[in-house]
Amino acid sequence: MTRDRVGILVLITLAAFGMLWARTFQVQVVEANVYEGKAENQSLRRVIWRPQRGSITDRHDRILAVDQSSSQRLTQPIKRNYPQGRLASQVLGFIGNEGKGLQGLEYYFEERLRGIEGWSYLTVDSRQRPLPGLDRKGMVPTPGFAVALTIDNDIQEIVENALQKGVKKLEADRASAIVVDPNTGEILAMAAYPNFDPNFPRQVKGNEVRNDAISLVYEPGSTFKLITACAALEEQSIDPMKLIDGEGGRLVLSNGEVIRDGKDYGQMNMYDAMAVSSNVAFAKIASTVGNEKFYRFVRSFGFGSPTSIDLPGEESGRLKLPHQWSGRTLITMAMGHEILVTPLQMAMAYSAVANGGELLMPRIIKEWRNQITGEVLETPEKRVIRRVVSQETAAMARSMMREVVIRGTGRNIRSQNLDFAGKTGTAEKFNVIENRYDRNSMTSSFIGMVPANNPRYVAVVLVDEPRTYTSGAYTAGPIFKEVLERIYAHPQASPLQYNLAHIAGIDSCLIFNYIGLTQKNARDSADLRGCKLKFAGSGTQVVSQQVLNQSSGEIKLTLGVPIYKSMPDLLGLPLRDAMEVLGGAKAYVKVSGKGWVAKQEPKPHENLNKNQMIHLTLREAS
Amino acid sequence: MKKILQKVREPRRFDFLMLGIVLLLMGIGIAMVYSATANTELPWYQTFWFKQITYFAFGWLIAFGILLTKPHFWHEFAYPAYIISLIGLVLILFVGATESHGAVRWISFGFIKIQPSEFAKIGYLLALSRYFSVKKVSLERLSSFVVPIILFIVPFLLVLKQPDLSTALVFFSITLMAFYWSGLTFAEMFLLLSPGLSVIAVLSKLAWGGLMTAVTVALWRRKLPIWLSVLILTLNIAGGFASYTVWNSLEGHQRSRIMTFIDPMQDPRGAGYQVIQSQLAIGSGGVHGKGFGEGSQTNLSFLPEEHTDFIFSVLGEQFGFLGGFVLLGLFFLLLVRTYGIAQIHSNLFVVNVCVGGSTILLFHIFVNIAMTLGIMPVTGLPLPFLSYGGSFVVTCMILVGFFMLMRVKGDDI
Repeated sequence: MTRDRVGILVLITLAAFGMLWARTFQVQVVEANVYEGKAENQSLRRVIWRPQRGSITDRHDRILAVDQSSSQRLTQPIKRNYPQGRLASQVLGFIGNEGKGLQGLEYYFEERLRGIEGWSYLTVDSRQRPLPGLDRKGMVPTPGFAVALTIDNDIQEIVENALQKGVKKLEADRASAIVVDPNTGEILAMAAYPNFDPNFPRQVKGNEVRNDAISLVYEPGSTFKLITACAALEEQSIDPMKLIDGEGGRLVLSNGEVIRDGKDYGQMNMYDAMAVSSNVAFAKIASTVGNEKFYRFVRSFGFGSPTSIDLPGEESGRLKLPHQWSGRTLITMAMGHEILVTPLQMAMAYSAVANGGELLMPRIIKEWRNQITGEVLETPEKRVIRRVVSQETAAMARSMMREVVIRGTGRNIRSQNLDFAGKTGTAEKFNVIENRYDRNSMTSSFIGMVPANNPRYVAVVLVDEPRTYTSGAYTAGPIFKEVLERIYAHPQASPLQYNLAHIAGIDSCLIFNYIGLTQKNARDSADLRGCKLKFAGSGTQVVSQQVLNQSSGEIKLTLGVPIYKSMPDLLGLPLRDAMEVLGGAKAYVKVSGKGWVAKQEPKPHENLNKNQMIHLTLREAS
Repeated sequence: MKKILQKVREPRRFDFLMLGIVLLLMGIGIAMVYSATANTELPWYQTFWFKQITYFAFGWLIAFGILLTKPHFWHEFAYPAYIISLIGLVLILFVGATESHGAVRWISFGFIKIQPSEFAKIGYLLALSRYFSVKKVSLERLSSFVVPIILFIVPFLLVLKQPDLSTALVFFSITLMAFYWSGLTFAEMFLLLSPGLSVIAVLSKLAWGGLMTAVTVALWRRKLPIWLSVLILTLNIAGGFASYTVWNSLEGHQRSRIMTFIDPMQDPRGAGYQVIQSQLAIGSGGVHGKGFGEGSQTNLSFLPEEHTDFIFSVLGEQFGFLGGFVLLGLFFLLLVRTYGIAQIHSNLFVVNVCVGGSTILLFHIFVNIAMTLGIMPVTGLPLPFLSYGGSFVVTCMILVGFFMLMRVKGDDI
């Protein structure tokens, strides 16, 4: 009895152990490979390495955007540095948190700039702590392509500086400008003010990021009379020297509508008409061309279609088809109404006149390069779209524009040193979103070229809603003049053999605005353009700047902690930056939440009293 | 050689074979605890492996102390021991120290911590052994179950309350073995357990159908009194129905918790994590293992509880299938050696203590290793002589002491 039971007990034990043996055999012998692979897998972490994003430089290899580290793990926050700060910000755009370009060139050439991600394996323990020395080889990330722009850093600086000053002086909403080399189609500068700092994309507000040069759609007004003149000259529909009657400054059309001039200009030829910008004369001139031919010319100058520049967000403007024209369309369009254009379209049309009649494709890319070796991979070439007018027509049109500056509406910008040609314009803006003209909002412009007989630069300057003056000649004109005089005075940019040293603020070192930068950023900026700096005082930010030496360009920057009388705008800043900015405020700060500043009390620009309590509400990025 | 074998087989002599097996197991245990906890910066006298050595030494002191006593003493001491261990379990309810997992299993005496449920296993074993040394159970006399069920249910519920399901099930396994040893056949035990099985089987219609068929056939062959047959069938149906109703009323997450208990692989980051890591460790060990101290699963601390509950995984990873085979062989030898005592001696108390004691070890060995291999749910049962932990070492060594005592002096009662 006992013996039987012991036997059964042994059998039970054997059965239990048999199960365990069978299972260990299954796990350790039959399926060992599977478990081995899995065990290795979980101790190996695939690490994605972010490639170095291609740098962006100007035409003389001065850095506009660069990655700070050569390659980093994908999970680490990207550090894209824009050492020139706000310079060319709308052209460059910026990148988002994931390292993707969100605006401007960074967005447009995302694929090329980004490069190819690499990977490798790290051996980690159960808490994901990497164990050194156990890495496995993977693939090295391939850096993105580097791009050199046609933009000239110095010219861009000159333009932005002039725009900023202009906006302040004219109490305007915005201003924008383009400088083009009319012989190659290269964009030398493209800017709008207010702009933004791509180093802090979270602080971008509203339309700061909009690149007006390509996405502002407006009625060109009188600047369009150049196209009308070209059409008449090319078609020889009217002798340019033939006198046209000013009709007492009041021309009644067949439909009863009245075309007015500022005053009675009397008898005038086409040169005179251009100089004084006579609406009556140009109404008559356009009538000699006729609807079909005028439409063809306008179309051929590139209006109504995008220029195909390598930038995102380009508008094509609006050009009505001839069958949509009313009885007055030809005449109003001759004066730059009933047509919508972009500044870049105007720049390229004027460039065609400047270079002897060829419409060029605008270019912003000088060349693509290998980020590491610098080897040039691709060089976009000059592209002629079509010849729009003959050499003779272009030459005549240029001398008409020269008259504008010498004795006409633009005579206030006449320069002793430079031979300008150009045209003023004032027009109402077209609101693309609401699809209607905004009668209360004016756009004043000046488009010109220099030197008049063989232009090297064409520049478009637009001022949006100037308040102190409204006419193009007194708003955009002076900005145009300042820009081109400075360009000519600049030793590298100047085509002249002599240096116009008497023009104020000639050196780019002297005009760069350092105020508000930290000491390090200021030094980096100065190093990049080879400027000499001297620091004085101590503090977190540059509070004032002063030229020490005109000829050497040395500048003294006074550091300090800015004291705010009004509340600075902290929205979108991480807490550390916000506290740094607030360092100068004699106030108490109370913080709630975490992440970035989403709400602030007092609101930006409100008065800030001594020892006032500031409330900051932070929020994580959505 | 022959002489040695003769000596080994000779009853009533000091059991050198068992001494050798236990020492070997302890040696393996210390090596595994050492390698599982090697990456510590503690001084040697604070390490787990050194503490384990002191537990083992203490355990041998107890085992040899037991060898000095007589079986009669334990026969007389059986019920007092049971009562004392119950007091210990009750005491926990008032002065127990809360463990990290929220269970209350320890009583702390300042420098030393005692786990009363460990010693309750011994107390229950002694009490049940004594009871069944004079009594039998029979299905025809349901009253014969009253005393043993009471003996069982009190410590069982107290341990379950801690809560410690796996240790509670150790009491269950002792009870089953005692029932079997004192007269029940397998068929009878099956009928006795069938209502409980119904509760689980009802989740699958096929399984429950099969179970009910088996119950019917067993009842028909066993020819139990009608009222008892009806009672067993009724209990089966009632249990199945109750379980089915409860299951259907459970929320999704409650069900998935139960399913995770049954199949931890469903939850690879929760309870299943340990099992998966354990299987990866064992599986990646292959046939020969990765070598002593070379376990990447162990060294990279993917393996949880590696020096206590999952010590077999450490062995499996470093010494592979062969190492596990040898270890299981040693355990098997130890158990069979214990069953042998039942053949040498006829005193039922002696036999019951040895068979019951080896059941405790078998249950721990099987449940623990099956858990590390992923064929049983994750329970907290340690592996005898290998897992780190003082109280369990003492329990095991008391059992070893009993085995040695009973072999030498089993007649002397």
